[in-house]
Amino acid sequence: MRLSEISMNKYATITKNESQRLMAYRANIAAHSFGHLFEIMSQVIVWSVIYSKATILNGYTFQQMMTYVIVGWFILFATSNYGFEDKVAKDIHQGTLSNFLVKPFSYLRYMTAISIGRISFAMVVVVSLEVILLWFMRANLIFNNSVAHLLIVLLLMFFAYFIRLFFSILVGLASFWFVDISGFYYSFNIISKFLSGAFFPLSLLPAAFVKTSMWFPFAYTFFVPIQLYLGKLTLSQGLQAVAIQLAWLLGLYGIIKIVWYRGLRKYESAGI
Amino acid sequence: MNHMAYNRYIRIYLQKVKISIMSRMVNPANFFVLLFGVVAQAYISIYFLKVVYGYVENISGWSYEQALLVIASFLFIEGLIWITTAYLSGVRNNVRNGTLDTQLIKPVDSQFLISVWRIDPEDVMRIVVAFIIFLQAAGHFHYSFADWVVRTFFYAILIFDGYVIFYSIALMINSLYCWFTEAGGMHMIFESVIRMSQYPTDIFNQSMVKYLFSSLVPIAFIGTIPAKAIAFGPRFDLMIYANLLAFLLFIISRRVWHAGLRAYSSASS
Repeated sequence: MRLSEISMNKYATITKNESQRLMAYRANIAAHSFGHLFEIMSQVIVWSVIYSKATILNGYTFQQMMTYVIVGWFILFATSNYGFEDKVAKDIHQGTLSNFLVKPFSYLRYMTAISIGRISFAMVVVVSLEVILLWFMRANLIFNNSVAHLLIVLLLMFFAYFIRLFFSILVGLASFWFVDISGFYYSFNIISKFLSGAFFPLSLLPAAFVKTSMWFPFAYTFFVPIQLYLGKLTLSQGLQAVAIQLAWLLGLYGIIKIVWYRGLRKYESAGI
Repeated sequence: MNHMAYNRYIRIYLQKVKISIMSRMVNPANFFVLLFGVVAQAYISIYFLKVVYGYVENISGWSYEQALLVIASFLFIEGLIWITTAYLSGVRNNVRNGTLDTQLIKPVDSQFLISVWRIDPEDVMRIVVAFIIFLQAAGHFHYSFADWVVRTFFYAILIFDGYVIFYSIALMINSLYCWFTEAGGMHMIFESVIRMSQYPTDIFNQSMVKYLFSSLVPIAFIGTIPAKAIAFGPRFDLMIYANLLAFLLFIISRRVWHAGLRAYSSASS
């Protein structure tokens, strides 16, 4: 077996172990996702009431808005990494990070492997719930049949997942300098969710705001994939968005590396 | 409970507040970022309302200013819950970490101690934001001074009732941890449902949803009903109903908590 294969197997095992570990909490995870259905329900009700008085809101028909909510929920949870900031922070504060420093492990790859393990398990629940939602809401939704559009949406989701993961790791790495980072990730999650259009479509906001939010990567993790799904963006604009995501991923990877090495200089291995 | 005992409970609560502020201020940067997050979250809800009312004049009979009162009421109650009990997180944290035993052996009422186990001082900002929104909305209602006094009196009582109702439901949900240590899903459902109280409940006109949110989880009392006292005038029947419901839920939640304690198997010993 080649050395690179052994390395890959190592991380694949971590992914497998994490997804098996989560099996112990399957009922809890299912209930957690089920809780989000109430949030979707409230959004569906609120938008339904609004659309009973207006046929079109800034270019969005009722069906488009419902699709934004339902497909958006899927994108949000399929690209989530379920509180990774906290995991990184704990490793740093409790000194368990030292275990990774003395082993032939890349911490960033380890975290990515764990994250994939988590999402692969959660994905089963999220996909099941999404299918139920699509079935119940089918009369009010738009189904995009263009294979090319759907492939680019999936590609955007794939990179969106890593953008969100890298941000989580980056916020978690702030623990090298701060004893408590709960405020950082709480605030970051709210602002990033707002800038991504997860609370409501960015198109409903002033044009200058939408233009500004496009300078950040968040809109590309939520708003842009849905716009493409709804056919409000062309294929070439979709591909352009993929390129922007890749540029952000490279940039974030570079920043993580810098923060990681600077942080290690501060690291005291407390708790060991 | 005599006067001395009351004083003791107040002293314990104030000590908890002091400890919470001190522990937060160990890392002031994080505290101020947290404050920012709390304010941002509140303002995003308001901004959403503003965006929506840019397209429609009223939603289910509620004008923009009236809907602002619902958000303000929700923020008042939510803020009070956070700064007095931190969403009852003491129950789940102590059960999960096996430290509930140490809370139970103290010569203080276990429900009180577990309720104030954690206090989040940064959430006072929710109350500050609620107050600002309330004043902003109130500026659009032209009532006489006497009318304002009566409406505000009813409003204050209904806010208190809403707080007790919220607290009681939160305690019941958190007590589930005594039976099932992984009851996080239920907690998530509860939070999602409670968050719906920032909208006027009149929008839920489907019979099943209406039943769910008026009877099963009375979210109307955590936003809409207090706001109605200011927006549409005080109603004695609603106030009496709210008082009775708050009292009843508090008694039930106390019983559920004690039943939970009997089922608790003490993970640490």
